[in-house]
Amino acid sequence: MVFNSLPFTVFFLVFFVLYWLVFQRNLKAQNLLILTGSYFFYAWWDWRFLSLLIGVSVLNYLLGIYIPKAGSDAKRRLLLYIGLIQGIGGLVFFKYFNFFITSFVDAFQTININLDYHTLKIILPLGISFYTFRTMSYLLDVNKGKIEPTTDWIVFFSYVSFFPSLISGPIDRGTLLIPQLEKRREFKYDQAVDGFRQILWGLFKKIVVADNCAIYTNQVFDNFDTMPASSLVLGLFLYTIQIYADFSGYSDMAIGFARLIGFNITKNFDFPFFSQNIAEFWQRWHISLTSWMTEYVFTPLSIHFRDYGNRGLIIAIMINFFIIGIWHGANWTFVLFGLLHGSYYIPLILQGKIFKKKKSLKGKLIPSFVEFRNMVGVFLLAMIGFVIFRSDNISNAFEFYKNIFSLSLFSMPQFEGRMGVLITMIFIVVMMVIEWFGKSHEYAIAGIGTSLSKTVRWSFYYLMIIIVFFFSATGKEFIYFQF
Amino acid sequence: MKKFLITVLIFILPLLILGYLADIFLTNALKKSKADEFGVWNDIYNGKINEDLLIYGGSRAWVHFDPKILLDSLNLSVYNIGLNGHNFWLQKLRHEILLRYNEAPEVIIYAVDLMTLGKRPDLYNSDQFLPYMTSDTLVAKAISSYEGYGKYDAKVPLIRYLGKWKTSISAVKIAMAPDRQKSDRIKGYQGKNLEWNSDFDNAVEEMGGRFTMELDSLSVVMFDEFLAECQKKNIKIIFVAPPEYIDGQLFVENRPEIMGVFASFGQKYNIPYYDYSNDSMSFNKYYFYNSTHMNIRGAELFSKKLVMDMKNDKVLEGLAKN
Repeated sequence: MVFNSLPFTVFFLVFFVLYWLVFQRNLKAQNLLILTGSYFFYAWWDWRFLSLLIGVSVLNYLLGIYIPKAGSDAKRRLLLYIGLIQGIGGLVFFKYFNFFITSFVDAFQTININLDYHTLKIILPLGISFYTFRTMSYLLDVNKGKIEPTTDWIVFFSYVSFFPSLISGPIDRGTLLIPQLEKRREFKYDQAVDGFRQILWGLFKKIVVADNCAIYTNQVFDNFDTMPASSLVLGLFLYTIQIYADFSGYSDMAIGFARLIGFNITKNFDFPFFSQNIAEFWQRWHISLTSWMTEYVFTPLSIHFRDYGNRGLIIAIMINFFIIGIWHGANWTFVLFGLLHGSYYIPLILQGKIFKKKKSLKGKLIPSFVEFRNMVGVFLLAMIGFVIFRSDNISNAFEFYKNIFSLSLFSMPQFEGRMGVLITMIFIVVMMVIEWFGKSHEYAIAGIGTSLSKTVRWSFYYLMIIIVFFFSATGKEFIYFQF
Repeated sequence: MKKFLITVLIFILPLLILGYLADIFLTNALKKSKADEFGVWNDIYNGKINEDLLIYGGSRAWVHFDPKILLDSLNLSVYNIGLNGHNFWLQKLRHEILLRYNEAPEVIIYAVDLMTLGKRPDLYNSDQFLPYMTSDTLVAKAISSYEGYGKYDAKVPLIRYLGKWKTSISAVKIAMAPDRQKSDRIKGYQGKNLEWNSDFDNAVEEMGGRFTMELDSLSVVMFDEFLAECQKKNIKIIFVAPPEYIDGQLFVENRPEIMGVFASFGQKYNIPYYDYSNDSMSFNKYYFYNSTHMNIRGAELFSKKLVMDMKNDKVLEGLAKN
């Protein structure tokens, strides 16, 4: 039941009517509806893991209540560790078990020791990386006293399984979502219209830009050994745009649906391709994950290693990005992707620029040459990283890099369906231009609601709907579902 | 809330009206299209195919049988309704609709091949069904067993045009200048001016060696019924297996068994069967652009050979025009 599907449309329509027209006056009933709706939404994907989701919710709910009540620090720590072990253990088992075993065996094989081993047929529960990070941050925040544990199980269970962000985030913190669940929600016209607008923008990015890019990036990455270098570079450019449009489009839709039911959830992307350096890029890319990692991993590590100066900072960054990389999946490509991005930080750390805030480009109509150069530089660094991210294995990634450096770089790119590539490029330009002019807002077209007359505004919406309808490349799942 | 719901309704209403009108506009434009399969379907629905001899089959009918050569030599009017990429399942649909709007032919040359009695799961070139799938239940029913359109596509206006930007743009162009259209098919036939390409090598690499093809049992039954029906209606059938490049023939392990099915049907219904699998053309790449399709050189030579062979055998004797 993806957001851009008929079943979800029907589900959300029914949900919306019940939520605002039937249960509006009763907070508990509204929350119960969110919970049952979220479980229905999750079960539609795969009912088998619903019990895991419920079990995780029960355990973390109880731990949240008992951590502050624990008599001693040791007891408190024990309860916290139980929660963290459950979270990390669940991820390790479902996501990384086979990966660790095969990597372990491979490592022994390099020194001529052959081990007998068995892998398990493990199905990855959908959204586990996202809801696990929610529960872990909740327990850590409760332990630090940043948030009062909720005693309302419906509120907590709804927080863990909140359907707009259950499958692919954003990873909302308890400090943001739980207070909203505990408070009565009023229907706000402007918020709902804004939600619709953000959904429309997300749809455009996902099914017009990302899915059309996917047609060509799949061609390139499936046949990179036979295609000319010019096609590889163009395909890589398209993949970089695809992954951004896919994930940020999904996040826009998730935020939009949440706004339609009266919630403000975490912003996940803040125009990352307009960043001035890689540190800024990661402050604007998958914000809910990177801010989570900054708070719970990088900051404690950098404090831990503070006596080692820049070396300590580099170690903290590398560990942080190792985890960010492997969070994406059980493959060495993701580990290398993370480490590569970590290494991008080293020059910034050595120059003392890592914490230096760059002058914001927000509100700026035309960038200076240096700003433009910086943006292109960040985009190129991202492109280089995404070769590893997209490749099936590391040797394929290096082969891809190698194939780029050939004389065929100067030939015409070859794709099946050149007209389609041209149309896709036009939509990419449209998206980037709209994002540039809308970069001061929460999302690219948010300003339209306040700056344009109703006639122009509605004409724009109709045009967007027509484009989304006719130019959608249907049938492709969201990339981040697999994580 | 009330204001919001009213705004949403006011916003959606023009979209629904626009969607309904766009459906009519696009569908009517495509019904005038002369391009590719649209052209053949439109000729069928407009009752323009009343030729004496029709060529049936898939892509190996479409690119191999030149109606002009057949007309010149046989003195029979000819139309090639070969349906690119599809098996008998949808070839039969074309036959049924043809009989509904046109006079029955006197002769059908059926281009039989390995794919005729199989059934692919996907609805190849699904756009060709856009103009008729909502108005003709026969079309909707026939394509419903394929992975192509959803269950609402044949019922809800415009939904089936979702993501069909290429066809929609073509429809707009047709509506703006209907007389400017060019058709690549002449009487349904399209000779391909191509040289041997890498299709076959790619297929070998992809399949990793010889493979077996499956017959669709329901298609076999339907084919049997079709032959019986033609016999009843006094429509003469001739089976033709056009040349196929030898390496391609060897690539399919159970080719003899599958082609043997047509030989059996030929015996059962007393149908002449011209098999060019071992013709000298099948051993010469010069006549092909891939292992199953001949280029225009091969198609013209083959059409002439076929005419000669049929004339020598006098298989068309006794027809009204002969």
